[in-house]
Amino acid sequence: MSTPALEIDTTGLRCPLPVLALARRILEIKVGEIIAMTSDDPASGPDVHAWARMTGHTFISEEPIANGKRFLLRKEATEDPTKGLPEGF
Amino acid sequence: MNGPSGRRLAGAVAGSPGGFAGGSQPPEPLRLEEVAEASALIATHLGIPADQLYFVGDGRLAHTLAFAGLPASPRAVSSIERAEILAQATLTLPVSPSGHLLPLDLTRDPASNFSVGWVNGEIGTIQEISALAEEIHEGGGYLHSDLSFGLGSLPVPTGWDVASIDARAFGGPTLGIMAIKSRTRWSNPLPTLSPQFDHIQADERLIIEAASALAGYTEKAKENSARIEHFNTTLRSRCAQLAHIDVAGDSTGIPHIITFSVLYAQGEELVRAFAVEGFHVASGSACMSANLEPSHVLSATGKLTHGNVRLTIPYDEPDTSLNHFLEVLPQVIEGVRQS
Repeated sequence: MSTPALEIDTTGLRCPLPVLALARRILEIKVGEIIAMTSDDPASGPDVHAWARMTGHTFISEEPIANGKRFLLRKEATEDPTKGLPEGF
Repeated sequence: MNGPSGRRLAGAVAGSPGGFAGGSQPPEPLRLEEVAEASALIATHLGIPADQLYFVGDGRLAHTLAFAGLPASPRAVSSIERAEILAQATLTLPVSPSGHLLPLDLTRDPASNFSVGWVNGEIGTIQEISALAEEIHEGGGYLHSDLSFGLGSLPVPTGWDVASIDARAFGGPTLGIMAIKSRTRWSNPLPTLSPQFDHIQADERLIIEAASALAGYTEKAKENSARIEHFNTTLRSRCAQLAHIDVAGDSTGIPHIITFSVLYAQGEELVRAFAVEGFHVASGSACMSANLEPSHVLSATGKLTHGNVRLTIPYDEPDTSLNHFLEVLPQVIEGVRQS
């Protein structure tokens, strides 16, 4: 159930880049599938939560890892979270 | 059209250029009555007698000392207090997404000292200080409250035991004000040879300056609060129309403080882009802080921390400037997201 369909690593990226990567890469999985994201940005904790709330995806969990955190989210049927942003963003 | 350059939407920056430091002209000697009058005026605003007031070097020191001087016992602090208050916490009290303190569980810690600020300086949320004080007193505890950001704008709540104020919040100089109700068991937390805690531990001229700033600020707030409230409502609804903007606090907050975060934008870039338009705004985003940690107030309320913009609107900010802000908002956001 909670085996991620996609694993992304944003280590080294600072806000808002980790959340932007999440928004872009979640397009690659199907509704109902899970995306895992690792980040070492202290802002990612609150930002991934807030992003899920704002875009309608489900925040499943966060766990501390060696250098930061690993987040699990489930893709919900929602419009493209990067909608309104320029092409290639 | 260019923005009215130099308008200032970021608060707590008023310094005291002060003509008395150095220079060849010796300053006019102070009259004692002047200091007493200034102190009395500030006390009246707080609804207390002047002999319960203390003046120290700056706001941070006032917050630190006011809370630290309460009797040694567990200290419960709301999670959106200032760092110097949170540093003293033995228990952190959670808040709702709008920043309101969640109902207390006094069975857990009945005799604690509490610190809950009245108006949050970052998101504008107003706490029910008087009701909270009653509840805490029933449990045998004391309440410290940071009154900085409501003083002059709203009627000051009652019931608190100790209070602290950063005079810069109402456009005053760098000066800390403490109020200690006489019934409170409070003692000087600093190492000292004398039990006496002096009422005036700051430059007396700053007290006079602060009193006059407070009087002026109160007057301006009275004249302009409806106008600023209208701007707050309009800005909130504009943010709701624009895609992916997370506004902190709620519409019951103090109108002149408003904070929002722009998804996929960098706080620093937004600050720069607004500066180009003539608006000096602040940001609680990590990229704007020295330690790369985002604002704990935004985190505690579950708000987006990147792309954050904080406005502290001076009451005399003209309508032309406020309208200009609303006008340029969409293009500033668009521009920053594209950069």
